[in-house]
Amino acid sequence: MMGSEAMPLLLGRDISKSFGRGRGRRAALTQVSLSLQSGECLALVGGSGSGKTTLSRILLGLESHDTGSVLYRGQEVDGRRSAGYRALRRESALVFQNPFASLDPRWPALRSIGEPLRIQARRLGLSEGQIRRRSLEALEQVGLEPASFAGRYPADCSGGQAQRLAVARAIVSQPKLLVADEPMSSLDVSARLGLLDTFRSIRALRPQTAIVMVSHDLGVVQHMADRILVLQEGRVAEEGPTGRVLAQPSCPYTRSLIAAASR
Amino acid sequence: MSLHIDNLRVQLGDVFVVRSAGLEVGVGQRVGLIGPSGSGKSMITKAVLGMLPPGARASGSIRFFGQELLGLDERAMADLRGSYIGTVFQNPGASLNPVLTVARQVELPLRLHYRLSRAERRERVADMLARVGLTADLAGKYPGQLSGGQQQRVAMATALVTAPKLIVADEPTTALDSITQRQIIDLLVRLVDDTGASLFFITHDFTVLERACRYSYVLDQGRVVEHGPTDRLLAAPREPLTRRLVEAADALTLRAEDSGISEDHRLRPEPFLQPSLHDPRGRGNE
Repeated sequence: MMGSEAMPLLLGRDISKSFGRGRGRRAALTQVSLSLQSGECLALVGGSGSGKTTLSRILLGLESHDTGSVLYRGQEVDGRRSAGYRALRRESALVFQNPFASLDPRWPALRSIGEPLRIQARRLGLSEGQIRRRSLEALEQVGLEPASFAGRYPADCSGGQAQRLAVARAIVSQPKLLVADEPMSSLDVSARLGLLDTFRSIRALRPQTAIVMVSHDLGVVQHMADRILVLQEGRVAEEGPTGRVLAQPSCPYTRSLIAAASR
Repeated sequence: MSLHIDNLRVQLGDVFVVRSAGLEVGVGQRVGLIGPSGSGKSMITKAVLGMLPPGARASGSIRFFGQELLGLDERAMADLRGSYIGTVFQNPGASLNPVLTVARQVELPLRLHYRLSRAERRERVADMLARVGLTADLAGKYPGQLSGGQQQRVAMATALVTAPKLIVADEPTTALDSITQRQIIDLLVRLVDDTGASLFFITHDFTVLERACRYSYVLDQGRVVEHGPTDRLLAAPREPLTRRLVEAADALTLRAEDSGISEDHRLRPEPFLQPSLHDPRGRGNE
């Protein structure tokens, strides 16, 4: 019998997707395949318009695909009623580019962070006290002092602090899959480093959580990813372990991405 | 002196967002202002452009070729911006007018601030589009039909079409992907040098700064804490904040020894020349 280790957490096979209709129809993704194991960090890398955000949304079941398939823990993610979709949505979380747009400005931190648990409270059998305790724990895990941040509103946070709140909200439900779409690009360089540390400590605390990081910047990706998948105009240009891709890029596009992140 | 800021303070309500900022941009010089988010760098830009938010109070002095800008009325400031100061902002999608075609957008400053015939304007616009590397077939497109990099090229064409004496660029590459970032900075530097304009460049990222400016000021909580040649700041930062920004830029850069690609594939900054405030482009060493 195959061990559970062998089955990928997430599997994409020959995913294609087009937007628009008639003559305006444009392919966003063409026959993209990938797999992700539990605990692994995969970076989806490419320039603007390469299809990386579309791919990440398809992998989360937030966007439909035209052809191909997405399997989450072996179950097909195909429409909102599919078992794969429901498991995926329960067990995944998303961190967006702009924390100020993704956090509710009217809610203090603790309320935003607890929301994913509150939505599932009945199914999980959680009391408000338990939600509060786990939210405080999540705050601590992203390196924000609970006493000082629990009651704070997004407007009173720096960009880096707000993005950590968003990460706390994403990890509070202990997802098996964490997708982060350009989580650093709205932050200044020193806040980027801080957030990288946050992600690394979360990986140490929760080694089973798989992470998909969408980024155009290999300078960020080098510190996080186990593997890199390079997308160019919706196709997989290159894929491999981070060290190999950075040291021996096999395609010209990867080389120009490397050059753009080098001194 | 193209731009001379002396003891600038900007107050929003009870809070001083800029406290004691002083800096100089010489004629034809490219000078950077670097600081983390919230350090007040955008507020300094806004004070220079006469675009401070309502209720903000500024004191001190901002002189543009000797003329005091603080306290200038809106009409005079608008004329100055239109004719002599070009601006490039962070988000080209927001700074371009979505209902103007590329050609109309670039033409607008000429229509508003210069008396030129239609044919002359058309010629200037076509020339400008070519200089920012946009093909003629894009002239009839709207901003929404362009990529982020193309939009920023249009913004640069609009900023430079009046041949201004000073270009103010506030994080012009932050919204772009890494490959496009490099192309846009290199293009901006080339255009500024070609026209003999001065550049006042605002960023949080030393990797970007070292390609654009030979001299830089570091801003921390509304104060200029350190300034000097950019390479000196990079090699021997004195202030803790400068050190932090340099370390962050280093950590987020791929190192040559990590990658197996040959030197030819690297986008290299222009050859280094000794910077000097009195000899802004360092040409004296050639």
